[in-house]
Amino acid sequence: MKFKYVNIMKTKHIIALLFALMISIAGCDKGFEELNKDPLSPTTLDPAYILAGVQDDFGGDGWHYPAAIVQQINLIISGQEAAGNHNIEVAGFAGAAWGWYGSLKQIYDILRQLEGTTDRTNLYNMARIMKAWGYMGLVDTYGDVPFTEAMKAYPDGLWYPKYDKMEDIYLAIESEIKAATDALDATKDKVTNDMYFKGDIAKWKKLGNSLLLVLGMRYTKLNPTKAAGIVSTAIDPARGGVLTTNADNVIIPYNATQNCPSNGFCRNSTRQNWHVGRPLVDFMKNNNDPRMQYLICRYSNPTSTDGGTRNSNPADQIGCPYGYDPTSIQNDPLYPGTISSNIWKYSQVNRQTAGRADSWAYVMTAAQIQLLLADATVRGWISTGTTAQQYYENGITLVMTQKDSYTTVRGADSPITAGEITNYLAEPNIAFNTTNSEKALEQINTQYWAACFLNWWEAWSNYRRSGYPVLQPNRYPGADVAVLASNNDGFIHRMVYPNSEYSYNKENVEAASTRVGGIGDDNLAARVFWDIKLP
Amino acid sequence: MPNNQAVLRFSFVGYTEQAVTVGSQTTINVVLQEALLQMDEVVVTALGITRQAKTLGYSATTVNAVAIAENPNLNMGNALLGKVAGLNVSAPSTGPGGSSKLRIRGQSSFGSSNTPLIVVNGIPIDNSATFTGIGGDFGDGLQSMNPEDIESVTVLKGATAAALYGSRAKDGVLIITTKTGGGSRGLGIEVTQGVTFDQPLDPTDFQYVYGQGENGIRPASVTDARSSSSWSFGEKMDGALVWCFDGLQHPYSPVKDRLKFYDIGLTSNTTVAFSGGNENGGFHFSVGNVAAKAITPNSKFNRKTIDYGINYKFGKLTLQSNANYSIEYNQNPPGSTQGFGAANSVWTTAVSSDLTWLANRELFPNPGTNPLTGNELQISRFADRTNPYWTVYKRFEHRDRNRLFGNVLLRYDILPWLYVQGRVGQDWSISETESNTPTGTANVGPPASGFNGSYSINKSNNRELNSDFLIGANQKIGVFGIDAQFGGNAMYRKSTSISTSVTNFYIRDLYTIENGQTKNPSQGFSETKINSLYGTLNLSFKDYLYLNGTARNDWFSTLNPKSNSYLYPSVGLSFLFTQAFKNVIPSWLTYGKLRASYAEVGGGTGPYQGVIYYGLGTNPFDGTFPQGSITTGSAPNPNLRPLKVKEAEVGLELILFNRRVSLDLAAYQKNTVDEILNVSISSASGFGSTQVNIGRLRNNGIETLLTLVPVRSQNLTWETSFNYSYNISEVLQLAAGATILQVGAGQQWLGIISHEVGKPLGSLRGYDYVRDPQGRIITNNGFFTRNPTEMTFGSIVPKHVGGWINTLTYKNFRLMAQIDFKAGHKLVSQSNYNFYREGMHQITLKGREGGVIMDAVKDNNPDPNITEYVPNDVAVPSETFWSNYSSQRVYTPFIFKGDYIKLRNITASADLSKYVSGTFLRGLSLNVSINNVLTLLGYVDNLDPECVSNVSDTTGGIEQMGPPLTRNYQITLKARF
Repeated sequence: MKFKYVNIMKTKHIIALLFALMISIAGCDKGFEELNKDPLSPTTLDPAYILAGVQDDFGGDGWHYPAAIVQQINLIISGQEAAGNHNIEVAGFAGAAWGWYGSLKQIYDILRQLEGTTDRTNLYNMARIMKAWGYMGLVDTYGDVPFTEAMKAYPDGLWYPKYDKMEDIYLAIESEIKAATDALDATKDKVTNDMYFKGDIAKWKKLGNSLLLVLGMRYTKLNPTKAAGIVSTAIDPARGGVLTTNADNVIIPYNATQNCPSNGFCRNSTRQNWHVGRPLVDFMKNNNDPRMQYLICRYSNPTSTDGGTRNSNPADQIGCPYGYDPTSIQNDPLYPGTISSNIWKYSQVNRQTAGRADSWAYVMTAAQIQLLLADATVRGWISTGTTAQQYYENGITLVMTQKDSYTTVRGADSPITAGEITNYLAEPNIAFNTTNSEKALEQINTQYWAACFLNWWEAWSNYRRSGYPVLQPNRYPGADVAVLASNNDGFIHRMVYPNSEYSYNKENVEAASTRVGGIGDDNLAARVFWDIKLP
Repeated sequence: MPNNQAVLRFSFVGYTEQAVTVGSQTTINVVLQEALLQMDEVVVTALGITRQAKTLGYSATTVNAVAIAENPNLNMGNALLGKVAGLNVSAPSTGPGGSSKLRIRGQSSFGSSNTPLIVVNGIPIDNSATFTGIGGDFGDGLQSMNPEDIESVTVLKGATAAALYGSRAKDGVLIITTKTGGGSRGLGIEVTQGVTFDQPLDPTDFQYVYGQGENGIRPASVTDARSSSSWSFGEKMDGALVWCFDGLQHPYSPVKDRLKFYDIGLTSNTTVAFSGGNENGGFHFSVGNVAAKAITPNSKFNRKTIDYGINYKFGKLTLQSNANYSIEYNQNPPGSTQGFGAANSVWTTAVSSDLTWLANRELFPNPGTNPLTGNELQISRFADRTNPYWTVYKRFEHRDRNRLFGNVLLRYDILPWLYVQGRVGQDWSISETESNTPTGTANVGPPASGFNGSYSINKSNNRELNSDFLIGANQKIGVFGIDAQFGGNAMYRKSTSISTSVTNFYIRDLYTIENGQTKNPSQGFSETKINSLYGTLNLSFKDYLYLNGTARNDWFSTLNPKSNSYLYPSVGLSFLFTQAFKNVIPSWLTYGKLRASYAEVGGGTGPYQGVIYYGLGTNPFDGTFPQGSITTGSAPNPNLRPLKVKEAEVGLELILFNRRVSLDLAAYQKNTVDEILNVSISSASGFGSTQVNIGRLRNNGIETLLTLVPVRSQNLTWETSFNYSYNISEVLQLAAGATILQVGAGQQWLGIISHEVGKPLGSLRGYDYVRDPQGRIITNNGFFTRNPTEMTFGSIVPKHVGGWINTLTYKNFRLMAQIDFKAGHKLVSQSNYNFYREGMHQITLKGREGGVIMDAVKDNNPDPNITEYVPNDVAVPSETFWSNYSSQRVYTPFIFKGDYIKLRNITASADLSKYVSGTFLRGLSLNVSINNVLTLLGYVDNLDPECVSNVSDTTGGIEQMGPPLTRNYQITLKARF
């Protein structure tokens, strides 16, 4: 057959087809670059907004582990809430503190944007203080953590940072806090988007120095000389001093829209099972603590949201003991019985005051700082003219006059009167022991422990540092083997590295876990470098 | 030839051609049989191009309309279950408006959605599944179609079949053709009415010795009963009166029928269709109405559809247009999360308590509500075990969707052998979703003032527009033939959404934006384009050798402009050896074809990658301090490429013994390379993940479809068909140095899904007991502990999938029975985890009096450095022991084989036309179908083996307390006028 198609097809057909062809190939990716820009999301942002974005990350919840480790909060039932109350390893809760790296990511962005600028040095240095604060929390919780190689995924492509030695990290943050605090300058930029102090530089200097003080105190067991040196630097009035009055407190102003996470257990689905630990109840009851009636109570119907009828009479309060399970709890000599199946009559946190959704969260208080100064004075590290007793009594007075903590109305003044405080300070066990320094340290640090109510990460760190208050180990039968082992004191001393690190940064976390606490084992009984075991 | 000797031949795509002698009939009704393999069968392939089946170098199976329409499923995807080798369908029990999970040839990527491309009348439509806030299922894209409107469905299984779809083809393609009328039938009206009853099925086999209570004590008061309502660790049931959670006393006796909470589901399905045509074309117009009441109280699904199809040839110009408009309303699909998943309470209410006591209208005029307070009547001390009546009556979550997809096609035959066509099609939908958390829910904390609760409303718009052109030419040159097409496609996709959620209210029970105290608005937007050019070339030699080649190039708007163009080629060969050697082939070998093909297809990428974004919190902190942050969680990779799937396939088709035996065999190997992996990295690096083109995985498999017709006579035909597919996958490579990639986790307690190098896809991982070197469980003080090292229990992807369908036709009656099966996969059951720790599983009868001494060993040596294992002799009180599974989270007892064999469906249909001849009815048929008839084999304690109710590949294999499966009884009457 002869091909006739070329003739049949008219020229204009051919041209039309070719034209269509050319157009289709030429225009194939026109306008694509513009199309691929997300119109809703900005690619730049003023770092001032990021500061406020990060500040409420520092008031995290500690009710699963540290609250129970220091025996202020307890849960008898087993189940997914079990962690510190049964001294067992629950990877999800132990790994939760690793989330501080999420806050550090934002802080590093502030630092990156403001590096080298001269007109926003205050915001820059505030971010440096926050960064040091974040790493302090990570080291206190886990020990060795990534530091020098951290935060370099983009654009450097460093996805698997190595872990730095905890001792080195502490040295680095110590100098960073000092330098940043000294660089803050009231004559420079005003940072208004700051929920702690609204940019007040004097208060920021006190915060920086107080953080330095807390860091210095951590060396108490390991290196008292170094501790003394840092403490002296921190309190040097020429550098701005430390938190002294309640007006200096670092507060996250949680509210009706952004609820407080530290007391979430008062409102969640297991609220009926969270009790106040016996050591705290006994401490407050036996010493007629004026805070007690506002913090601790018993409810008639704890399953309901408001708890039903509330009994705040201190004499009726019974703290929940440690080491029991739902069956053996009946062996508690003070066993008060159940309201109904698996709901016990032990005391709980007052939901209408300390358990309010719109409670402020105290991240660092003048009370804590004054008590630390009392501790340092007793040890002879500082001599400012104020006696240890004065610091001690100031601390107690400050915590009892804190706003918001004891009231049903947000931000209201404390109902505790000056007279009640005076009476309390005269109580036999509370009156400051001026003769026996060890007993004095016990008093001071037990007050610190009570002052850290709802701020349990700090309570746990100070407990490990000072050894006080004196607590009985929680010997729950199903507890973690390392915690119960004969070479440990029965307490949890650190959190284990999160499963995510074992999955995604295996080589580095395994290298770090051989160094942990000298034992060479990533478990709950190993210790961070400053928490050495005293003979 | 005299009229009564004339023979009419009826043929259509996918049907066995039938010849009917006219005889003295004035009307002839023909029901075309499902065709499996035929020599001259015509198949609709990619881009709507029709080809003769014998020329195809790849596997394609057509399922006919009758098989889909007669199935009680409202979602036509579910109707394909067990019918096509290589197509793995799961029909989760998520309610009448639920999704269907379709997977072809295993899973071709590590991600969560490996669904085939759905093409309706040549236009791709969206088939993504959407979910409710409580783990419920709002449905997917296929649910917008009325199965009665479907003409045929062709499954293009491999990359080679789908190659012309390029970057959208990696999971295969479902080509759906709807009815367009035509033929010289004149005007016809067809009315179909079906009614379906859904009966919930109870597979539980609990202990019925000990009733509600904890620590061996029955409830002593109503407060007690409301506290321990999910615990069956009480006393031996003795029939004595005991206080119960409804405030009354009831006998302390077993309550075995726990599914009384559910209603019998009822669906009415009506379609009225008009069709007509002449020799130049035709039309088909139908209106459908589905009203389905689910088994879960206050849950329903309504769907109205209007569908039309027209085709007409005006000389050289052909016009075709189809459209489907659907109005869907999906109300309260049941959830699966612990709080608002009503099924949780149904499955875990203590064995001596009856949930329906709480629906006693005299005590509770509004079931679920405490008549004294107006708030939730809490029936468990855990506030997040929400009263299921509160959930179904006070919580609402519904979606209104209006959807229109359709296309217009114009084709011009320039010359008899040359045509050009242009087509425009669009899939467009508007959805509005509303939901609330009702005021007074026990699990929600009290607000500072006003009333607690929340409400949210979302409106979204989705549109996909496709315009394409095609030029085709067809010439014969001696013994050779050339058939070629060239064309291009411009795809534009845009999604926008606006939503607002509010928390806490000023006025009670008014769920509006204005009444909300804290308002949280947000906005969503995305736009992508893919432009493509493609061509096909098909060479034939005589009538037995065919060589096909295709190439498609896609340009992506979502990629880096420096490298945003990718080419997807394919090549295939088909050799009809029975035709080539027809002189030497024995006569019983009617048809035989060998085929082989190879193709490369791809996947897409999402828009707006490669850059770091910031965001601002909706509400400033404390009303004063705006909070901003970097929102990008994945370290950007500006050089991302789309993945590629490279597949090679060989196959054999045989028809033997005068079409008594038909066999279609295929074997394939499918390699996925450059898979974009969201590789998890250390969060200490500043990002939790990054994206890398590094994943590689492989799927190998065989598929077979064997059809036998043992009996074929004038009046009686028996056809038996067996389809089976075997798929084995292997993860070849993950990110540098990584051996494992976690992709999903159970939202409640158990289940980790990962991909591991060297293992099949979808590893189900979890934790085992701590064991001694001999494998015995080690206990401390009688308690077992969990081994902190994650381990793999198996794969969630089945290796074997198949079905066996028998069809018996006698004169005007037809009986069909389908058995289908899946095997080779595992699942983890969160329900059984609860049944253990709450005392319902029969195993918990062990140790009720005296404590449980676990069959294990203990270390008898106090020295921590020396171990001496002796049998465990420490008894742990029963409830404490079983609740240790909750503290320790050991998975081992809750891992089950997912294998099953089910008698899926029995359908009987009768053509009653001859009984109505002479009346105004031209035809009448009756259809009765039962779906989910019987489970013949299953391995999951207390649950149906198909208990996994989600459609995602990253949480597949994790069973999470969904509603029970149902047996469906359907009766349908179809009348033709």
